[in-house]
Amino acid sequence: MGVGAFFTSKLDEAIGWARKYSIFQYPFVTACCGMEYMATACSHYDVDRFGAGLPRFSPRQADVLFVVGTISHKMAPVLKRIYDQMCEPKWVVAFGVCTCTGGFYDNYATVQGIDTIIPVDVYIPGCPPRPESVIDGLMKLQDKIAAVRPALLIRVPGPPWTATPFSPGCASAAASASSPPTTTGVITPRCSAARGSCRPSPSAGTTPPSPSTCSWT
Amino acid sequence: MLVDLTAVDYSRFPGREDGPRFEVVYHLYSVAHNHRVRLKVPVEQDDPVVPTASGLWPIANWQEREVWDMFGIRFDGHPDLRRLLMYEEFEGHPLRKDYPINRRQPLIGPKV
Repeated sequence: MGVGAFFTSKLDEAIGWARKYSIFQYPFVTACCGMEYMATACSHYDVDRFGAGLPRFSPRQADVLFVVGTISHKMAPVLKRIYDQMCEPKWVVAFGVCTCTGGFYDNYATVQGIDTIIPVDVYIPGCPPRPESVIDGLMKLQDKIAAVRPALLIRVPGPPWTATPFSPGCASAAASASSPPTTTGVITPRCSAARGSCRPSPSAGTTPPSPSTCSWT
Repeated sequence: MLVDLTAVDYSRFPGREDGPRFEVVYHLYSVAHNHRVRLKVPVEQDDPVVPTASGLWPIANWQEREVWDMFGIRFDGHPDLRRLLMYEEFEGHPLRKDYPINRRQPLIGPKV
């Protein structure tokens, strides 16, 4: 290992450590889980201990999308648009069993799991989940954020991000200061293949490798 | 005063197999006399059309839209018969008894 690689890895560790304690969340609250989310966010359980105490009510300022509550088919385009408006890097937490699988709403109106619409990083089951399990899911998300390597690069494979290394319109100071991945030759996929497979991009003009559940029109 | 306007699908109701499939139910209430009237209009399956009541009671506008959305019963003369609860791309009418309970609708993306 060269000296440069050593410093790069240490820098990645430092950035991952800093990122995991500065979670700016966007609470997408639609149903009764929102009460449990508020209980978790208030001072009894105090998610501010984990650096997630500042919810941003604009998706452009948020890092983590908390989908809290049942998502109906009528709400699904809104959720997708909110997710698309968030800047990279971004993570998604499915809060409650309705967002994970649809829960007991096995009916005509409810989306059977938000991972049919957007990629999900952490699932927190429960109806509603206890604050302890929410905090457990938050800590799992922190581990995932801190483990991202290399932290300086935007790690999204596939169109339209293959041509430009950084997400368009979201060039932060850290992203512009880093070297492009073509010189380093390393583009680590952000997550597993299933994680990034549900990425429909109707405006890109290319067909993303999407499963059959992603039949966007 | 029109208190409620809804419909019933009797297609699998015991004892109602040979009758008309739908019934549109009007609940009427008179404030002056404190009388209540429940009016049931049988509707056949082949051409489920009922004259609109939105000229008499403006509240019937949205309630008839809901009945159209959920049961597929059209209201003749309705000014704006669109779906009320479900989205326009929804296929079928979910409160009909022959609508499968676990039928999956196609996901609708955001308007580009």
